[in-house]
Amino acid sequence: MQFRDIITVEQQPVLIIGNEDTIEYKDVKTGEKKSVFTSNLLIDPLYSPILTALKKGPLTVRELEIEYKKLANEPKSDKTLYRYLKFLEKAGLVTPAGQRVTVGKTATEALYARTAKLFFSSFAANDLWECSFCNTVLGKVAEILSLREDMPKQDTECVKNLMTSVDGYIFNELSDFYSKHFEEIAEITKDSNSYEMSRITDVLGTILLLNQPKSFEKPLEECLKA
Amino acid sequence: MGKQEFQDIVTFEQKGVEVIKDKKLIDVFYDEGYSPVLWALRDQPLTVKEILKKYNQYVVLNVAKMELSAKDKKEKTVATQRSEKTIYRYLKDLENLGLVAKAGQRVVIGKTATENLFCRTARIFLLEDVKVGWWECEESEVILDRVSRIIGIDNKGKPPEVECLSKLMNKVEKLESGDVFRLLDEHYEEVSKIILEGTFKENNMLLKALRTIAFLKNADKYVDELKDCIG
Repeated sequence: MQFRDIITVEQQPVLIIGNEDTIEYKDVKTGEKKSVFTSNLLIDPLYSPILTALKKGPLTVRELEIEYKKLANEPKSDKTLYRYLKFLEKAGLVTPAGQRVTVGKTATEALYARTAKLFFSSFAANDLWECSFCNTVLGKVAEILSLREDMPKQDTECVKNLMTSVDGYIFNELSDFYSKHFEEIAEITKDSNSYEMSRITDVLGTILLLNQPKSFEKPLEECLKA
Repeated sequence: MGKQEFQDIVTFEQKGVEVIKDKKLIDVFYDEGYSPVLWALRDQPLTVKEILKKYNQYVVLNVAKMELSAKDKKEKTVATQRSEKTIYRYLKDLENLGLVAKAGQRVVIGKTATENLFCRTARIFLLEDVKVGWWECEESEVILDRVSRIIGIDNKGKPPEVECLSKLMNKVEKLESGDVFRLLDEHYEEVSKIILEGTFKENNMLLKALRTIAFLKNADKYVDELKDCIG
């Protein structure tokens, strides 16, 4: 059967998901309002097969039915998949991508795509130590550090500056690197789930920091001697 | 269950931090059966039924991380999920090891019988040598292979050896964990009080900050390994 796909959206290279980003939904059984972390959807056994299947490119629901069965070893009806797609769309991970026109047929089929080739989950994407309880946490960090005999009472602001500059540096460098090389990275990580992606990101972040040890020497020294 | 249908009476006084040095006890934290119980209890005291629910959720999430086919994942999930009776046995074992305690009772309004509540004996268990060696296991090899290829993109096409990345990450983990461990161990009483004030999420961020600072303090100790790897 001959067909032609009309693609109407442009996929972003990289989508950065904050560790705190959530999506609200109504529990079908209880009607209760609930929320789930967007980053958790990437490894959710119900939703992740869709996101993995769409790494190939835009697909129709019928094609997704076949791919889902292969990936999850469990069939899902088109109705269920359509519901999952709507939820992923609400979470900003999937988007309607256009229409499939089959030669000789009046009706077209909707196509769906990932909103980005790469999804990258990061703590720093949200507020970079600006959350409601961050100061309390940093105050405790300062208090614990000051327990060392050779260290004076720490200053929360100083610890905050240090953590913000370290995490900000990693976040900016990785965002740039992922955006610049998204095609190659998408290919290398095509079989990686969200957990692996986060470990890969951790190692890359560590190596980035090791390449720039001098950059944080001064703020660290100042902080520990505050 | 609605908000007003039960009340928890907690009588056990939990510690903030417990430093675990005994190798046999450390193994318990890596045990496929016991570790999900300790994970389930990380936030608050729970009944056996609640632990069971969280336990089986943990299994699903953990299996999802594994490099297995969809069929094998499904089989692994079924094989590692547990019954209420087994959870109860695990709780007894953990209680005997001093890692879990009876926290109190749940009183369900209108019911005579109460349910036992269980909790971890400490909010945070700090393990000596935690995760050291993880970067040498099969699971990490897949991750480091991809890291190596990604670095290769920007490294004039020369990807670092996986073995070399493994050595580097092991050293980072060892020094970083060792530093935080010593700090918390030496000031156990004070740290324990501070940890008890925080939620699980807050304490996680607190440990993240302490680890970053420990990492930065040791940054000059990785120069040789980094040079070997990246050049």
